Amino acid sequence: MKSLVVLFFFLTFTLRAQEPNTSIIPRQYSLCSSFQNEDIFVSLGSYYNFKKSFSFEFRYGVGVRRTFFQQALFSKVDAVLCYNFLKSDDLWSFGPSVQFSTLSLAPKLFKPIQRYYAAEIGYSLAFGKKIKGLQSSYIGFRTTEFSSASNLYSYIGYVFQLGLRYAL
Amino acid sequence: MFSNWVCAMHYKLFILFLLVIFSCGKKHKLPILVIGHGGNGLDFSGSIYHDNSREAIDLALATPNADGVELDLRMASDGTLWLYHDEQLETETKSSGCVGDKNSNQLLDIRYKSLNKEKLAKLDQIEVFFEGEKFLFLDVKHSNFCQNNIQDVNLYLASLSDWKVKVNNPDKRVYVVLNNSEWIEPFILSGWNVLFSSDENDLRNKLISDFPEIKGFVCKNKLCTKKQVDDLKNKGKDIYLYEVRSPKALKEVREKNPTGVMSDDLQGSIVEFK
Repeated sequence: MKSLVVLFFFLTFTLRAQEPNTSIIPRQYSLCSSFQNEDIFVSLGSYYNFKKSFSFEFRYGVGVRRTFFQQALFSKVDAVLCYNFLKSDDLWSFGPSVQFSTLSLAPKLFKPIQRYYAAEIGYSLAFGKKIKGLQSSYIGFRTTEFSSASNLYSYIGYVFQLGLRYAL
Repeated sequence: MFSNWVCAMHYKLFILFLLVIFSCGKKHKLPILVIGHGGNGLDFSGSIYHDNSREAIDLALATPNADGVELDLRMASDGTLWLYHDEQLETETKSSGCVGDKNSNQLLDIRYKSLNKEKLAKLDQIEVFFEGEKFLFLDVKHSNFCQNNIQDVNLYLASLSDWKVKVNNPDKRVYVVLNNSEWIEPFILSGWNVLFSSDENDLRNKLISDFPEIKGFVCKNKLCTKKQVDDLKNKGKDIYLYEVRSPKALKEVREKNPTGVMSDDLQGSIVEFK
């Protein structure tokens, strides 16, 4: 989990360091809220377009209920791949997407007591020019495990996301 | 201009992120028992599995620092005991009618309407993974809504006794939660640890004088004051609070400091009290 957080900030800051005009990948940043089984998360993300219709997004978020109300860090890292097969002049785009997530509940910093892993499919919709509105939904399989035991518990999970994305 | 503002914001958000991380404070542990309501929580969006399902019980009992589970018990027409909260099957499953009107064969394949489609669980199945370290509270549902009658207490006790001898658990950690005051005496005489579910302070005090052997009470968090909790504890009775879902409710429970909490947010309660 620690390495994923470091990777997130490494990617975000190194790609930001490039000049916008010479960058090989258009950079956008997102602020997202996700409603899902475990908590409501607020996330910050970096978004990249490649091969015209594909996009990749890397997000880091924290659970509102646990982190803000209970002071126990509940963090989440998402990797999202989307195929925007329907789009119109950069005004809106829509397409299927897959999301892989890992969540970690750590009442003491970097000492997680419970972890979750998720693989989900869904759709992603973006609309707007410079500032885009986002909506996406996912359903898929999740597993959870406790740090003190090796048993995995599998279940079906869901995610409903709303957010904003700003293109530099 | 706006881009520069966003760049500046980016670093501010990073600092905010660090503040969030380092604001994670350690709370005082409290000697409050954390009991999973219906297994892993009831009517709570964060519950992974449906309440009273085998999966929910399994997950709750495996959760580190969880002290036990509270389950809702209903007796089928053939005297077998099943775990189901609501009066009618149609509210949570694709079946209809009441548990009390169906036999084991009819109940065996019923599944919940939830995403995971868990099967209805039979009390007998709990012995498989209930190893005696945890507390078990059985909320005895005494009425049959479809027939509008009260079930036979002696048949209930006989079925429960059959189950009890199979379970490798010291008696001290298995409690029944009753909702019918007429059932208190037969359960106490049969050697059960009895809790009574009541939100009325006067009724609780009357029951303490009528049945000094009663172990304690179960009460809705909103309807039980700190003074009432303290009074009951001073009288040597246990008090468990339920309907605890929100962070605000968890803080209220922390303030009241009851014997235990039958929490719908099991994970949140562990974070708060353990």
